[in-house]
Amino acid sequence: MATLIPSYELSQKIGLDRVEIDASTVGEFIELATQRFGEPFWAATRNSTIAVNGRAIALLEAKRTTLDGDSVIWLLKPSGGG
Amino acid sequence: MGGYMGRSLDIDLSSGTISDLPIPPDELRLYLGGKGLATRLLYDHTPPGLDPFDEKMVLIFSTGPVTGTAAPQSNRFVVTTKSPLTGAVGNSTCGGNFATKLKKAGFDLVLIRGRAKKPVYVEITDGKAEIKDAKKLWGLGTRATQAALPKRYGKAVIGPAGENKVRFAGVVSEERIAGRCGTGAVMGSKNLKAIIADGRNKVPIVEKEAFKAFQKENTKFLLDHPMTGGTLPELGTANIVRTAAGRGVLPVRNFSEGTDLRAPQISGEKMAAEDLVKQVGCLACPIICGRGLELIEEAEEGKAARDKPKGRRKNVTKGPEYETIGLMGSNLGCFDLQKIYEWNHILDDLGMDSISCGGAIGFATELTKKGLLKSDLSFDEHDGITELLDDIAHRRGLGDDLADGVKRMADKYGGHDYAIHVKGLELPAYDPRGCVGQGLEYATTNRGGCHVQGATMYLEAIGPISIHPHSPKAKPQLVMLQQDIAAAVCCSVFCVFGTYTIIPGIAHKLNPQSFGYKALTDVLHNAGPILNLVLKTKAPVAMNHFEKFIGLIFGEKFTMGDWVEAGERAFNMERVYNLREGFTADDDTLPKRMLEESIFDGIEGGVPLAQMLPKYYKLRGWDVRGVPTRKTLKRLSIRT
Repeated sequence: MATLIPSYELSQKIGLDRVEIDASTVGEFIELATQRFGEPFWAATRNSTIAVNGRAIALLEAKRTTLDGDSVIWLLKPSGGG
Repeated sequence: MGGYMGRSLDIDLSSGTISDLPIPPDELRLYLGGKGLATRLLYDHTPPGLDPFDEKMVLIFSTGPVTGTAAPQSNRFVVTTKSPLTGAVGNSTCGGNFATKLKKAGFDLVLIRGRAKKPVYVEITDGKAEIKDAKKLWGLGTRATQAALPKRYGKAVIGPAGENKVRFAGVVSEERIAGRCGTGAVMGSKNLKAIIADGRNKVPIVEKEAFKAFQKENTKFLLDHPMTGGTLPELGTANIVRTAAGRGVLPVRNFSEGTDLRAPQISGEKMAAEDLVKQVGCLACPIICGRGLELIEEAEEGKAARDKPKGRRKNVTKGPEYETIGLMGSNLGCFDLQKIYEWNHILDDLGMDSISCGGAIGFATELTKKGLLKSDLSFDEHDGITELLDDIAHRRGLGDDLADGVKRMADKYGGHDYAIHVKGLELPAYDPRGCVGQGLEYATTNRGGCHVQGATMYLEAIGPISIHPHSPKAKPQLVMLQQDIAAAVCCSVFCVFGTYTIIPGIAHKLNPQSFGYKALTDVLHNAGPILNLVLKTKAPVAMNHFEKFIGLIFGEKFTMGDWVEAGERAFNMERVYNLREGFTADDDTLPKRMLEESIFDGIEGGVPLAQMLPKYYKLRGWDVRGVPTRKTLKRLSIRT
């Protein structure tokens, strides 16, 4: 199963700090997760950078990006400082 | 001229003499102050090849034209010397309370030379300086040292690490540290425990009323910007942890990996939700990015704060920055914030750079894992770290090796391929394989592996806009521009965080999944020729607030182009110094792990440095050996 690490705000809304779903593409993952968690999940994917195994992907690309059991998806916000 | 007190000090600790250091006005105008002017003086006042711990070495505390004016982000000083860690130019900047007080005492800069016969401190008050006995202070931590000195003074002090010449010892002011490059070790080698300043002078500002109005305007601007008014004050620099992990640039187990699912456990969000007591800011800075945390008056007992009843958790201490979390946390395989708080607290008191220290411990742990070093270090257990920090600061046992940094440890034990440093300076918490422009920046930055002298990773991996982080295209131009801007910041002397506002707030609102976002990043990715033009033109445009403040303080026209050119001059001056000290193009490289080992699926190898470096040299006006050409030096008015 692929794993998604939600942004902090989303994790507060859905009450989970990681989501595991058996999906073959990112698009399928988002669809299944949206069915489970509803609108907040969908909205978060629209407002965050989606990174799969460390690489950011755009939405159209995301739908067809393939996942395997070790894949990790992060929903990210802009950062700065250091 | 506005912005300067017009006096600098030359203090010889060997002879005990104190005199004025004349600085020609044209040099002041060329370099502005800060690290640019200090590097010029380092070059002029030391012979080639001088050991950093030689009595003749100079240690320079410098300010800039904005210091003491109460412009936002202006309360900083720079410490410059030859780094005992790298042998290259070493400089580090610091907030705290010293910078403004030095200007109010009537001085722009203090150059220290010689070595006192016994521990001393320097007291500077209203135009006068005095060398005083520091016998009672020697051996104390940075907190106790500051507490023992007169309250009204601004202070820059060292802890036991500096006294024992730990090569990554820093200089501390309040709870801020000029951490990088081992400037504290050079201070310790001079038997100089502290330098303190106080006075009632005012920094001259030519266009006072316009300055005040712009000060208000700029404060509002910073507070309205999503980064400087939102993310940084809310979460501190630790806001980066999640993004770094998600983008595969978080250092994990001596940079052997770039992410870990446990990263949210050491994030700024978790710190803010569970442990933040108050936000802490530098004088005159509206950003307030520092974290005030409840902690561990019992740190010495090695007990974590969460094990204490709340009533006993009385001390509020500075929370760790992102770099500390990255290097002392994930890089050591530790995802326990309480432990990182405790180590951060101890590191500040001992006066040690958490980046280099974490890099050294991480490297020693991998050496142990591979059987090249006998120690109890492990990426899974961290019980001995607290004691190890004290051993490093006092150069006891294994700590003595670690106190010399990663490069020297690799020379002794092997493991050069995964010795994570550039020019001897341990890398900060951004794995360049996930932001290759940052890799070029690490390789070419004069003080070695450093993130604040360009911060290209902000434009590639962690900020609101991500310019194709795995592509070398347009990165030489981007890195050069970023380095020159960062150098200008460090000459003026502002805080580098203001540069994050160069990307307008509206960019933070872009939907990263939108065509508009993709189009913008694609444009920037193909903007090499435009950036070339920007770099070659002294653009008479206002891009940010820095140049406007300086113009108002000077009372004359001062453009972004003037400002960036001062940065370019400082950067090249540093390069000229390094070349004199024996550095060559061979030193503009990265650890083998970063060049050859992939940590991303579908990407072979690491940072494509060889594709970027020749173009970068050419852009800089350097020859193929990385030496600035005569034409470049003439254009920048750099004497050699």
